[in-house]
Amino acid sequence: IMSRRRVKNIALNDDEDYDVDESFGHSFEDEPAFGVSPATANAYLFVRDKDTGGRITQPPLPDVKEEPPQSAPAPQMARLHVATAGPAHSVKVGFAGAVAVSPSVPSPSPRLLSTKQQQQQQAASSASNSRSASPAPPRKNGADPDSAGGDSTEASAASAAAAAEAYKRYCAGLGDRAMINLVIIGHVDAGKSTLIGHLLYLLGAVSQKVIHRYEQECRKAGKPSFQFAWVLDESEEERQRGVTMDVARSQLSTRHRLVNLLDCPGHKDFIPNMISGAMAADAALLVINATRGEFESGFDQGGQTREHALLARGLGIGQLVVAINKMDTAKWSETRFAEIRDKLGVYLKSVGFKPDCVSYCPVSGLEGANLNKPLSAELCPWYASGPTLVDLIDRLTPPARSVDKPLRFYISEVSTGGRGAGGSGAVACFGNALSGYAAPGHKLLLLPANQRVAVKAVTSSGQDASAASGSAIFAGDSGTISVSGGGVDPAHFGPGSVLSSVTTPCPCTNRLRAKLLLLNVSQPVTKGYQAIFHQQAVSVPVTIIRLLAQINKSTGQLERRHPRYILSNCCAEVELQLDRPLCLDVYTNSRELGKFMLRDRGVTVAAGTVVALRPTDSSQPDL
Amino acid sequence: MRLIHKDINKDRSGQVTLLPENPEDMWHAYNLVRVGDRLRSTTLRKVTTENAAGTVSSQKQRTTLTVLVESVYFDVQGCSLQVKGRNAEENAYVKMGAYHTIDLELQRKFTIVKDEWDSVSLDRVDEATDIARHADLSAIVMQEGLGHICLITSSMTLVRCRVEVNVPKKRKGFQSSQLDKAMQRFYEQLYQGLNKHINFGIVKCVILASPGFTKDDFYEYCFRQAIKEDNKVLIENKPKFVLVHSSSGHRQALKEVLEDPNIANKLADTRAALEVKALADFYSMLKSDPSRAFYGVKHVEMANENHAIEVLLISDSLFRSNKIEERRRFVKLVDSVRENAGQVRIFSSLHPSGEQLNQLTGVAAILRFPMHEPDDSDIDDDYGPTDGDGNGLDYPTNAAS
Repeated sequence: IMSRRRVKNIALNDDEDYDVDESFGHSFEDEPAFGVSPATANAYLFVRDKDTGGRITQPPLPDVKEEPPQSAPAPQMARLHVATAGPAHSVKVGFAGAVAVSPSVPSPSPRLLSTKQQQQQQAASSASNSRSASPAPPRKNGADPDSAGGDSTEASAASAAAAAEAYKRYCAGLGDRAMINLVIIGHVDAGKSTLIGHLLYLLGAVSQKVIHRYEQECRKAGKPSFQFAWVLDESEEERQRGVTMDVARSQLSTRHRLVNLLDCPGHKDFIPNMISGAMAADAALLVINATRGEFESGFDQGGQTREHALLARGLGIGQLVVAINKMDTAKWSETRFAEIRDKLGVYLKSVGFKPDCVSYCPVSGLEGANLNKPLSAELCPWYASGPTLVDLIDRLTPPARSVDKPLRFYISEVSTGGRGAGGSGAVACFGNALSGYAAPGHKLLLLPANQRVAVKAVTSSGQDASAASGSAIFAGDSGTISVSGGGVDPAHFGPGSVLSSVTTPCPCTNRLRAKLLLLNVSQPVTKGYQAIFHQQAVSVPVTIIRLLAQINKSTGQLERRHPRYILSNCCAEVELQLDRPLCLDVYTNSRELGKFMLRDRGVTVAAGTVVALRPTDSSQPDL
Repeated sequence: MRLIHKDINKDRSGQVTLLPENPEDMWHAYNLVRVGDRLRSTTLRKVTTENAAGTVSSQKQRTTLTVLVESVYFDVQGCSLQVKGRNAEENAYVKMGAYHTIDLELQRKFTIVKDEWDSVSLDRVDEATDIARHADLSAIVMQEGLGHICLITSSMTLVRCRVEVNVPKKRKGFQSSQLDKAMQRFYEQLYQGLNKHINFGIVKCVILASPGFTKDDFYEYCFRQAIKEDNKVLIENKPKFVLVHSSSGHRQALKEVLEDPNIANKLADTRAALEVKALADFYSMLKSDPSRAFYGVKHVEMANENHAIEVLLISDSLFRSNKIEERRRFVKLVDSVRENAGQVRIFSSLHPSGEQLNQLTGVAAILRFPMHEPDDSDIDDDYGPTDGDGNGLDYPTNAAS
C-alpha cells in the first residue's frame, strides 16, 4: 500500500546523529518535495546511500584498467532483476518517469556506487546478484535494445589500452603542437576583440574579402575601425552597441600550439559570461589600454583590469601574457610601457601570479603591430628584437590533461535537432571535456537529471586539426557530443549538466562545505549571507548557512572556531546551501568542478574551493 | 483591514474584531492568530442530514463558529489563512469539540479572542488598520534567460511569476537569429506574466531591473507589443515604468532595487525600504565596530540587561512560535528596549531583508556603546544546528586560491 505523502523533515543535524536505518524504507514520496512533479523530483532529488549511512563518500577513482569487462547477459538480467526486486520497488517502477533511484535499492544509485563494491560483486558475478552491476535505469523501458551491445562497447573502449592508444593517435594527429585554451580578458574598450580579430586575419584564419566587407559595413553603421572586432562580435546587438556581450570562440594555430581562443566581454555587467569563459581556460591574455587616462581608469578600483586579473587567478589560471595595447596612441613610448608594466607587476604579484609566469609585450591591435611580425627598429627602437605576441603565446605551457580519469563532460549549451545533432531524437550538447574521453558508442550518465544516454556523434575542437583522432573528445577539448537514448528529454539537459561515466558518476548536491577566500566585501559576512554561486557556466543563488572556522590565509592554521562574522581578505571554512543541486566535486578530485566564485551586487566577493559535499537538503524554510 | 470592535480588559485578555480587505491583511491576521486563541468567523460546514426515508444528504451550511485554535497555516502565494481547531461554542450544526478548519475570507469579519494581548500584537492590529495607504510596487528583475515578477507591499514581497528560458550563448559560426528568437520567446513570456499578474490599479510603480541592456530591450518590446495588440491598460500606465540597474536576475537582486536612489522617493513610506536600510546599518556597524553589533538571542539579551540597545532588529517569525514562553521572552525584550528609549524594528519574514535576518538567528541589535562579547562556548543558537563535527575539521596547509 502506498503511503500518503508524509511530511518528514530530514533532520540534517549532522553526521553523528545519522542512523543508518533512517535511510531504509524511505518511501520516495517521503522526501519533502512539496508540490514537485515526479519528473522534477527525479531530476533534483538526491538519494542517500545506505552503506555509508547518508554521507557521500568519494568512490575511489578507478584506474581505467581495473574495470572488468562486463559480460553482456549479466547486466541485462541484472536490470530485469532489479526491476522486480522487492515489492516496494516494483510498484515504483510503474510510475512513468517517477522512478528516481529508490532508496530501497541503494547501491544501484548511480551516484553513490562504491566502485570497489561493484567490482567485487562483478567479480563474483552471478546473474542472480541483482544488486551488483549496472544502476537501475530511471525508466521502466530502460532495458534498451542496444544496451547489451553498448555496454560491451563501453567496457572494451574503457579499457586502459584503448584509451591510451586513442590518445596517442590524437596527439600524433595534432603534430608536435599541444592544445591550449586561452582566454582574453581586460577592461572594457581595451581592444580585446580588435586585437584577436586582427591576429586571426594576419594568421590567415580570416580572408581579406571578409575584412573588407566588414570595413564597409561598419563605416556605414557609423563605427569605423571596428572591422576586426566584428570578426568575433557576430550578433546584431553587439555590433550595434560596439561591445562584446558574450564569450566568442575561435581557433588559431601557431608554430607549437593549437590555441582555442575565448574572447570575453569587458563590461562589469557581463562578468558572469566572462567567468564561464575563463573556467575553460589554461592561460589568459590580459589586454591593457595604454592610452593616457584609459589605463588609469581601467586600473582603478571600479575598473575591470583588477577584477579580471583577480578572477583569472581565482579560477586557477597560472600563466598570463599581458598585451599592452594601443601603443600607437602612446607613441610607442618606452617610459609609458615601463610605467604600466611596473604598476601591473606589483598588482599581479599581490594577486598571486608568479613573476616568471607573466610576460609583457607592447602591441597595437588596430595597426597590427608586433602581433606576429616583429616591430621595426624605426618605429620602436627599444623593443625591436623583442618577442611578438604570437611568440609569447607559443611559449605558454599547456597543463597535464587527465585523460585517464573518469569522463566528465561539462555541458554549457544544448540544442536539439539541426545538423549538429546527428539525427532526430538526439540532443547536441556543447561544452568542455574536463577529464577522461568519450567516443561514439559510449554509454554515459547525465547528471543531475540522472539519465542514461548513448553517444551518437562527437565533434571537438581538436578534431579539426588532428585527422587521426577518429571522432573522439579528450580532456581539455571543447566540442559537441550528440546523445540519444531511451526517453532522452531535452528538458533535463541544460547548462550545468555533466555527462559522466556510468561507473564513476559525478557527485551532485546542493549542500557543501567549502573554503572561501574573501575578497573585498562591503559588509561583513555572517550566517545567512546570500550571494550568487558561479561555477563553470551556471550561477545559482546560495546562502551561507554556517560559519565553521576562520583560517589563516597563508598558513592554513585554525584561527577561530565558529566566528560570528568574517571580514574582507580572510579565509574561512563555511557551509553553503545552493538553491538547486549542481554537479560538484571536491577540489582535490576535480579542479574544474571544485572551484567557484561568489558574487554579490555586481562585485566578486569570494573565491572558493569545495572541501566536502553533503547530502542534498530539499527542505523549505518555514515561515 | 478595518477595525470593527476592540475590547481589551485590564488583565490584557479580550477580543478584537477585524475585517480583511486585501490579501496583505491575511498576512497580518496570520501574525495575530496563535495556538490557544479563539477565532470566531462565518464559515461553511458540510452538514449531513437524514430525512425520514433514511436517505442521507449533505449540504454546505454557512454558520458562525468559534474555534479553539490548534494550528494555523498560511499559503504565501495565495495569501490565504487556514485555521484548524475544535469548536468551542454551542452551535446548531456542529458539536462541541468537533474539529473544523476555518478558511478566512476577504470582506468577512472575524474575531480573535486572546487571553493575553501583548504589546506586539496590539501594535500589529494598529498597523494593519492604519488608514494611510502604503505604496505597492511591482518589480521585474531579469537577466538573459531568467526573470522574476514580484509584488512588493509594505509587509510582503511575493514572487508572482518566474520565467526561465534557455538562451543559447554565442558559438563559432553562430546564427545570431537563434539568440534573438530565444530572447523574443523570453520577452513574450515575461510580457504575458506582466499582464496576468500585475494589477495596474493597485500598483504605483513598475520597476524593470537588470544588468546590461536587457531591461531596455524588454521595455521596447513591451510597448511595441502593447501597441500591436492595442493593450490600452498597459499604454496608459506607461509612465509608471522605471528602469533601474541590478546585478542579476535572481531574487536577491530585489534588495538592490529597493536601495536604488532613483526610486527612493517612490518608496519613501514603504516598510521594505526602511527594513533594508536598518539591516544595512547593522552590517556597517558590524564592519566598523563589531563590539557594538550583536546578534543571537543570548547576546542581545545580555546587551539588553545593560541597557545598551539602541536599535533592535527582530523578525516577526519569532513571534509566531507556538511556545508561549518563547513569545513572552521576545515580547519582554521588545518592551524593555522600548522602555529604555531604544527603537524596535520588526522585520517581515516575507521581505528579502527579513529572510536574511531570519538566517541570522532572527534577532540583532545595534548598541549604544561597545560591549564585551560573551563567551561563545556555551551559546546555542536558536536557528543554527550545532556543528556535529567536533574536532574533526582538518585544514590543508596551503591557502585557498
